This record gives sequence, structure tokens and C-alpha cells, in this order.
Amino acid sequence: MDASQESGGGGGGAKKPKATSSSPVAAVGDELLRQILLRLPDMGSLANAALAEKRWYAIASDPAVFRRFDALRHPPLLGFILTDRGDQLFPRRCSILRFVHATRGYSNLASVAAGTDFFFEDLPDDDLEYGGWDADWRLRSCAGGRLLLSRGYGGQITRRLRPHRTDRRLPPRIHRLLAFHPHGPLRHCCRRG
Amino acid sequence: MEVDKGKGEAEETRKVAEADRDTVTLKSSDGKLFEVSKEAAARLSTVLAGMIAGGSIDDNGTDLKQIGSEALENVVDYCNKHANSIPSAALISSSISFNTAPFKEPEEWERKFVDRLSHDALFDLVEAANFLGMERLLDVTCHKISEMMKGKSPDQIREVFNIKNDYTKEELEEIRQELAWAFYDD
Repeated sequence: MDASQESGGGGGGAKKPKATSSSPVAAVGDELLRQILLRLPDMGSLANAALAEKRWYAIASDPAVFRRFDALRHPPLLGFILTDRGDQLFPRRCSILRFVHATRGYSNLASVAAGTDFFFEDLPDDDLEYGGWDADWRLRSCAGGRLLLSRGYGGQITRRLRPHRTDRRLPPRIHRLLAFHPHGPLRHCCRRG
Repeated sequence: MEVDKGKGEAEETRKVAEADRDTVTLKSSDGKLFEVSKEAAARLSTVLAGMIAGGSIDDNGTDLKQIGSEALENVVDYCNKHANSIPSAALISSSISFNTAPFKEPEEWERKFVDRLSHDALFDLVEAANFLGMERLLDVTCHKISEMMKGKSPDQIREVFNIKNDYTKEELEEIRQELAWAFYDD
């Protein structure tokens, strides 16, 4: 049996002639390079590798590779919203409601966090059906990167909101309330004291 | 269980002429000979397992023309160091789907094993592991190479791997924008 017929795993090994240059990675076949790129830890690393050379970009764009990284993409944690009560008036009337950044050491994330409105300062409170205290939004829950808000007696009106970036203006009114960014920044976390 | 399997394989290969030996001799492209335990070779390499089972092992040194002596020495070294507790290579390769399965982290000794290698030796070894169908060694070596890219800018990656930027400035900018969202994942 000729061993060269048996090449096991990826197949890339014998495809290309051995490089005599000082760039051994250039001699590595596409399939092997794919195996290497697949082991990168996150989408950012894959994107940087894709920017290194056209061949790398072609391999990184392979749907199978891409899918794997997409599955790995846990949206990063930007921080925590701290409240002293579960059913907190939101956003302005409560004195103890704080966003605690968890982005130290991650400059990309820190700039995202800095440009994000976590407290919906521009949330309209002009819905005239409701007046008085019950016109205020309350923070009810927090999951999956979105905040659940309600207002009205019994909290019958609820909105699921993803904190949005203030430097990317969204269409006004109802669209804004329902809009969320598919690749938005906040993972979640709401700790109740 | 693995031990039993090893015995089973040994039973099967008893028919082969050189079955009374418990090592196989491998010959590198530059003619150097290396001995490796038959059990380890069969367990860690699908290709060598196939050759042993098929009786195509040469007592005077099985030619592995694609593998240089330095890489083959590392392959043999790896086989010798490998603990007995690892399932057979055939078993691993049948169960791994590279696109879905999470990769197993290298063990401490495996890390040390590849850490000491030069750049060239590492790439020779990854090719040898691929050629011999050594899933685990392929895993460990690919992991090591991917670690050399991790957290680096495109410029730094080019420097580490000595590759040329074949993008134009405009192409690079276009792709950078296309991929911009990926960088929120840091």
C-alpha cells in the first residue's frame, strides 16, 4: 500500500510543493489552513486573520468556518445594571439605579459602552393616555441583552428594549421602542440587591 | 477497554509476517530509520493502522517519502510520550466533525511538546500529522499555530508568519468595513 494514498485528516499536506521560502505557512494547503483558522478563539481573531492575506480571507469566508464562529459569538458582557428593587421606576425617578461597566481592558468594548444609552434617556414619556406616576417606565426584567420595561397600572404595557448606541440614531417613535440591533452590545445582567 | 482493543488489533495483525515484533520501523524521506511501538502507531495514526492491518509494513523501514527526518522524529517522539488512555485514532476520526465539535484543549505535556518546536519544525509536524492521519497530533499542532495568531493585528500576523500583504489599500479597507462588526467580540 502506498502511504500517499492514505492521507488521513485534511488532505492538504501533499497538495502544494514544499516551500523553500521562509514562510512555511505558504506551503500549507487550504484544508490544513482551514483547520488552523477553525481553532481561533473568536470572531475578532478570525477577522484579523482574514485581513492578513487574500487566501486566508477566502478560507475564513467559507460558510462552514463562518458558521462555527457565529455559533461561538456570545455577545460580550458590557456591564451590570444594579437596582435596589426588582420593580424599579425607570429611568429617572429612582435614585439607586446604576450601570456598572465591565469593560476594563477591552478598548473596543469600552468605546461601545461609552456610546450606549443604557437608561433610555430619550425614551418618550409623552404618551398622554397615561398621566402621573404610572406614565413612568419601570424596569421589570433583564435577559438576552434586552430590558423589559413596563408602564401603566399593573404594568400592562411592556417593551423589550435593547440599549442602543447614541451615536447611531434610530428612526423615531414606535420604531425606536421596538428596534434592536442584531449585533448589539449588551449581553445582559441585572442584579437585584 | 482501550487495552483490550489494542490486544484485538494485535490479534488481527498476527497473521502478518512480522507480527512477532511489537515495533514498526519508519523511514524518513532522507533515509533515517525510526522505531515506534506498533500499538501506539496503530492507535494514533489511521494511516499507520491501515498499513499495519494491511501488512504493508516493511521490516527494513517503511518508506514515508513525504516526511523529513526531523518531523518523523517528532512524530515518533509524540507516539512514545502518549499515554495509554487515549482512544484509537480510528475511533477519534470517526467521531470528530471539525465544524461542530468543540476542540479538545491540548494537555500540558502536549503544549510543552509543541512549544519547544521551531516555526519550521511545527509546520513540518502539522503536515506530517495530517499526512499520517493523526487526528490528535493535528489538533495539538493546529491549536498551537492558531495560538500564534490569537489577538494579533493583521500586520502582526503577517510578521509572525512571514506572509506578504496581497491586498490593495482599497480592498483592505473594504473588507475591514465588512468585518467591522466582528471586532465587538473581543
